[in-house]
Amino acid sequence: MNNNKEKILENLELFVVPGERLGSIEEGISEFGTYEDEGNVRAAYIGRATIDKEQKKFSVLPITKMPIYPYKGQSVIAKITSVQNTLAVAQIIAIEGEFINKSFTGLLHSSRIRGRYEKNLRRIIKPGDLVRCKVISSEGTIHLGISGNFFGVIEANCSICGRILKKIGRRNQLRCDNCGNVEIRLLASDYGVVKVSKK
Amino acid sequence: MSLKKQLINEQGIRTDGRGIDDLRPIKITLGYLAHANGSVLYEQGKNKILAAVFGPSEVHPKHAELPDRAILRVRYRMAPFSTEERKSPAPTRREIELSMVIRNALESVVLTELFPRTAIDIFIEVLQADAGTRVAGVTAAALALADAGIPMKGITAGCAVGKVDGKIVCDLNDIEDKEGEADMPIVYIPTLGKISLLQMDGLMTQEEFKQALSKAINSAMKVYQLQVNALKTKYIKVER
Amino acid sequence: MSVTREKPVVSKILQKNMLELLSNGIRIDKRKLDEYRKISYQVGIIEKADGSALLSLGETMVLVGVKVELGQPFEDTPDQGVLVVNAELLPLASQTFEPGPPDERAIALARYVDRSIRESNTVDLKSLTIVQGKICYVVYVDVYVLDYGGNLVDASVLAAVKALENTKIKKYELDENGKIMKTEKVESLKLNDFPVSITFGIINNKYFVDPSLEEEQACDTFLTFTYTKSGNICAVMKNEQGLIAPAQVIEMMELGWKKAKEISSLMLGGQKGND
Repeated sequence: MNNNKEKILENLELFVVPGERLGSIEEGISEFGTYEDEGNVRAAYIGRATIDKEQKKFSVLPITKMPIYPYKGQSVIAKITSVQNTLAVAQIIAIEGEFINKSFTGLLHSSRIRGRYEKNLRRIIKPGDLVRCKVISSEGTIHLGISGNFFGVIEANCSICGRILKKIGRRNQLRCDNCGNVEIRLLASDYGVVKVSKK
Repeated sequence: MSLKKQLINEQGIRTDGRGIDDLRPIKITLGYLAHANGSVLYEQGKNKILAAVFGPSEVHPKHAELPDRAILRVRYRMAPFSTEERKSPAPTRREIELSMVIRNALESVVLTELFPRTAIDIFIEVLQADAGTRVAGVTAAALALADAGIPMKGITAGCAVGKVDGKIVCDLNDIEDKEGEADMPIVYIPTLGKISLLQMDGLMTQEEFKQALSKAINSAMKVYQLQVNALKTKYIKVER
Repeated sequence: MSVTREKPVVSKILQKNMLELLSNGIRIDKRKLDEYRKISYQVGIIEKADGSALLSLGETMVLVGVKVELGQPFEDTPDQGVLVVNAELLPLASQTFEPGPPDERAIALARYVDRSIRESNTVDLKSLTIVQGKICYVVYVDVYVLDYGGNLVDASVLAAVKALENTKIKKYELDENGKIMKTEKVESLKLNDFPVSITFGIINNKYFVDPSLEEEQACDTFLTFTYTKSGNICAVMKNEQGLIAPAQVIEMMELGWKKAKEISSLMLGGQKGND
């Protein structure tokens, strides 16, 4: 889903606004961007309607900007607030590289971490870390996951002195320039070089 | 006995030059604000109403959230300078009631079940008031919601009708609202053919009520056309 | 700010049951669709108030007290007295009512009772002037909801009108020096009308009068009409979220007037309750 771009339609016929009737429920099923009401399928967004007579499907592709919300499949940056053995809680502070004004709370479960099943999440993430995650589902509770190499910790602070940790040669190892402390994190491939833009 | 001012002349012309079924000129400016997810400046005669939508966002305090749907939070306020005499900035009983009435009018239109555990904020600020602000507020809020990409069952269109000099007239202005015999704000969803807000105060016979209801629906249809036109102008490039 | 309230959990299950019954024209408490619960009232039970009425409508109980005091008329109506209506949803009336200042529900209720009385011109405000533009009587109507069993609006409007009917004003007069003096005279408050409000509960396009508490929890929306003695409509309010078809509004308006006539003859007949 494209978040913050409004599109301009070229074609008049397909333009619909919320509430417009697309057809009856006998004529097709209600797909994305539509809803059923008293036997009719209607548009739920301002957008481009697709009426597929053969497949018997109605859908509406929104052309407005979409609400800022962590949709399934999006990449987000989250700040870890607490970590237990199998579950970490994180505040989502950026969606698709753009900071948001109000954070969402997401849950990161140990079964959603790449590689082997991590018995203790505390070994690979710590409160305060910035982690790039993928939204696995966002219907109700927001579940996050760390799947490919691109996902993982992108910024971490030293647990002793609080300075930002630097990546050292070995995989997943970080060192503090100030106190020399060495720590382990599940790192994203671009740790230390990430830039997040303020919208 | 004090002589009541005549508000409709023999030719059926009102104080501001309109006929009894005419609406005041309406101007809709979509995306008036830069930071809100959706915003509309709605001008109807001297009414200037700003509606803005934020969210869905996380609910604080947590216990206010609902597991199966988004909650709506609606604030309707009149600016201190919006009326003839300065209005105190403290919320009045009227504003508290209207915030609720407007929320009720929008609750059944927003597809809240698509964003469980979140809140959608709707702010309606009356910058200048000239009668019919609650329905203008709902009209503006519906556009702001749709423009913010919030899924909706339909676009609500509002209009007030009333009784002035014994006649049912559409879209009352300030004098007609104050001096008239009755005021009936209504919000209608033309695509669904349903009413989502209905209030009346004043005196009307049952026959007049029927007439007022049908005139209100006609007026709401006119407002709806303007709403759709405003959206079309924003989103469609008409090729010539 | 007005925030969505959680619907009672029972509402969905209840709604299903009620819909099945309603399609056969039956209600959960075996009433007919256009049948009110039993109305009974007592007036004058608060001696220190200038007027009072305790009214029960089924399990709903509302106490209205009226106090008349001296005050200043509003600038835009110097030749009229003042009417002030307030409503309190007392915490002892229901577990869902929180202590504290009136919330939006209480305010909406008070404002609707106010509109029903004011727009029907029930209280003769012109007769409440003492010195034009300076001093007048202020009629305070305080609605106290004692027991919440559904349909607060109709009970409150009826109780408020009954209390006003029962109100006695201690007369004040100007003496020779133009000073305001309390006299021994007591007069009844002059009423011009007897407004009756009729509330409909609506579930899935089916409507019925006087929703009980259980029914209220399951209803999509409510529509209230207030009728004057002569059959005019002086106030209308749609409450809660749902939608209504215009044709049904007219049907309800017509049925409502039939019920309003019944109720006002019951109330005017002076039939007192036995509680």
